[in-house]
Amino acid sequence: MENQAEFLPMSNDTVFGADWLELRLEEILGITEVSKLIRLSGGANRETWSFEASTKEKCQSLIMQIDRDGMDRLNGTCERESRILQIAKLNGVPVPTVVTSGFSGAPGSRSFSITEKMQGETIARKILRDTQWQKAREGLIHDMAKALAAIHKIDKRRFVGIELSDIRDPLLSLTSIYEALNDPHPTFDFAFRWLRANQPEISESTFVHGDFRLGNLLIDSSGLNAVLDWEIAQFGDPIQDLGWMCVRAWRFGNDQRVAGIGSYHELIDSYGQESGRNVSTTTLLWWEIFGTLRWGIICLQMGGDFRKGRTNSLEIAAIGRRVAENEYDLLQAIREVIK
Amino acid sequence: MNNVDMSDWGLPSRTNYPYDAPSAIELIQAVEECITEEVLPGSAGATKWKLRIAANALKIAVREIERGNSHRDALETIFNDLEVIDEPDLSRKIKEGDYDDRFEMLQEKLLSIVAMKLEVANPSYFKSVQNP
Repeated sequence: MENQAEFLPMSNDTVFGADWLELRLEEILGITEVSKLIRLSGGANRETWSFEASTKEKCQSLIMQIDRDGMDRLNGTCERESRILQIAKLNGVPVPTVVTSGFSGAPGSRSFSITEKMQGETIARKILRDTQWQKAREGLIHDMAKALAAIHKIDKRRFVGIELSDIRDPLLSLTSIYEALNDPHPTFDFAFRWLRANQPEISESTFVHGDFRLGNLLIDSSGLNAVLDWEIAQFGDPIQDLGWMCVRAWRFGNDQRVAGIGSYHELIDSYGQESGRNVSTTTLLWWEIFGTLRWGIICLQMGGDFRKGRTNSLEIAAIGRRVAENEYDLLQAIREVIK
Repeated sequence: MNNVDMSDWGLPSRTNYPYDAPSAIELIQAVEECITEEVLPGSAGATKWKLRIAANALKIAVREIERGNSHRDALETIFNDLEVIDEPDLSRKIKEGDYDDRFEMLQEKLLSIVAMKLEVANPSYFKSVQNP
């Protein structure tokens, strides 16, 4: 789901409100005055707020993210992500600088992170269609390939102490989520069976972003400015990050196969130059189909959060009905391959 | 009163006895049209975004009510063809490899089921997937 600007009044909540922020920031920046606290996005898993922090020396625009309220399985994701951001930054990946992070109460409670506010656009439909971003679009496939190569090159040992899944068998991992949901979808079973029978050999396991696509990338007039939303970063086959951004949902209504912007050929070439990896079209297509199944199962799971009363968000309820889009894409893609 | 022409005062017959009109589907349609035509044009930002989602959800509900019966009939025929009783049964048989020698036939039947779902959930989604 795309983010959409949302202007809510300044919050004076005891936690995550302006007074609370001032106390938090005083430890790092000295005496700070917080103003212009506004909620920015309707992201599904977290709240995003923008504000200004003024100290004696300067005034900075900052971003605060908070784990979504009432969803215990998401607790800790913002704090964990801030540690990943710091490692990514040290390894040449374009990301925002972290100011501070922590928990609202005891570890295990809702967590937050505060980062610098970077300039640019994240809304995919605008990036894909507005003339303002035309120049940025021209080099974007290469920018994305370069950022992915940098992400995949980070030494896994840098992440010691951060809980990251190491997905050796991605199909088994996805199957276990699907089976746990206990809501049979024959097309998903069909896709699992096809994917298992046609699985490319997994040659290596690297650090992967896990949700690399438009919507999670900040674009400025010259191209990719920052990679955002690291909440499902993990270890696994690096090509999954390439396949994920080819999933039809992440083309946002455009025809071009890669992120609604470019072709397989462009992505494979650019990523090859930057990473030294030679990716075949067959392998990329397998990961695109895997990604489509993955997004379908995420839609089922998110819709399930509504069905089980964990959220009353209409946006999340509606995502439940997007399962069928992915089933359709799976059947079309597999039909093309077996033709 | 006797001079008034009442020839066109007759109401359409009700379809939802014992209830009064408008019917459930007509009420949902009326709310959707009110949101789309009256409320949405004057809204902005997050409210506009939410109203769009709301109107779209109501359209899905209307299509489901309109087509549910014929879709369920078609689904029965497909289940008979595949020799299963319901979706969980079909899922189980796919997992067990029952259709591995009829993979393309299964693929076409699944597409028929998914097409019905998509016709209700998002009819604008149909289109061919282009080559890589």
